[in-house]
Amino acid sequence: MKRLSAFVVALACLVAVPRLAHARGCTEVSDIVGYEKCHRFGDGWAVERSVPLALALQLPYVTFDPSGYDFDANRGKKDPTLTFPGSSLGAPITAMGFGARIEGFYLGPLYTGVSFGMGFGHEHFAPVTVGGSTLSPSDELVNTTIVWGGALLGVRVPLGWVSLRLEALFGGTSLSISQHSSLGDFTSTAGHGLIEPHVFFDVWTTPNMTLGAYAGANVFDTKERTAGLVLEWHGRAFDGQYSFW
Amino acid sequence: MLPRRLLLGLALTLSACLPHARTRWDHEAFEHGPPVRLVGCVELGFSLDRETAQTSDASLLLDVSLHNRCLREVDLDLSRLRLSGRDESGGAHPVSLYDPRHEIHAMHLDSAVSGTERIRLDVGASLDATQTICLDLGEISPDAAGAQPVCLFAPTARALPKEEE
Repeated sequence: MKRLSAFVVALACLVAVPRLAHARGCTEVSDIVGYEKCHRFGDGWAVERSVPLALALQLPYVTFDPSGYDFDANRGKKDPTLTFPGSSLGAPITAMGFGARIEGFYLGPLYTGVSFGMGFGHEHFAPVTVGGSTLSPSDELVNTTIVWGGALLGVRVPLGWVSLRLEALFGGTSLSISQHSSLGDFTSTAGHGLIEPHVFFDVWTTPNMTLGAYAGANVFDTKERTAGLVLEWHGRAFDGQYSFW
Repeated sequence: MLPRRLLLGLALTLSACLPHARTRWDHEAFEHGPPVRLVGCVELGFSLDRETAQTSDASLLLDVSLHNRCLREVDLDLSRLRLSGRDESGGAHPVSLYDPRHEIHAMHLDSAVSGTERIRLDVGASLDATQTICLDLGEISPDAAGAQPVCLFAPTARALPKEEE
């Protein structure tokens, strides 16, 4: 729950900081070209004044396959760490959550960016016996948290009011699970690198806004899949190209 | 009761809008028809206002509305607007866009986008004598050749309210 609180606080800061900055930064004194303090001629309509960035909110579904990775189980900072193999947890663990993406379209249809997010779930994974204790899934509403993040590299194929994207996420992911035992509550964590190709389908709802859906899988372990919905604002109309014909 | 109130509200709203609409679309205020032109993909609308400050250097303000009808970028260079002023006797004098920061230059109007700009005009000492301002759009974009000029009547100085003695 601490991570959830931290994420919510970070998200609130992300929303609040630009408003505060604007409130403190610039007060417009005129709407006449040459006298404007906060704006320049062309702001709002000229391509030269727009930033080829896209900002998105994601609603993802993510999967973490624990087999093949060792989990570190901690009860408190001073207690020794217990280690158990992820395969003992059973099937891949799933979560749903939210994330964000920032993309830059500086080279025509090619784009780069970053993507990060968190997923939350309640799973009935198998109890694990380690160091003489049995760690069972916690009854908390959220007993699994998946965090991921990384760099994006992709290409957008403009097809008019829709577009197809092929992209890959290069980063990492980690899973934290809450367990309890006769010794107390444990948090077990494992993480690994990720190369995750995505197929992405966008619909332009306005020249600067898309609603998209994507799906992908980790190339190192195709049991780790992801899918989601994305609402995205684009600094340039149609990212600079409506269609390639 | 409700429909009567609704009608009253509607009538009040319309009456509030009427003087503004009349001022804006009074055909006597324009030559060559309403000051709206379609230049290739770009819809352009113009109107003239006068700076409210009652100072000796008060000038005219040109309001430009832009809209790109197309789903592609369009070249647009408002610095190539050619302006001229005419006084009552028909004498012409040059008018230019006031651009102290050299911001007005060739740009690309983004796809399907709309925008507005308010540009001060350098009319010179003949502001009060200026009756009309004509805009030649012929060079503002590759599609503008042959576009009809826009002529606008210059608003006269508004009388300041007299102070009560």
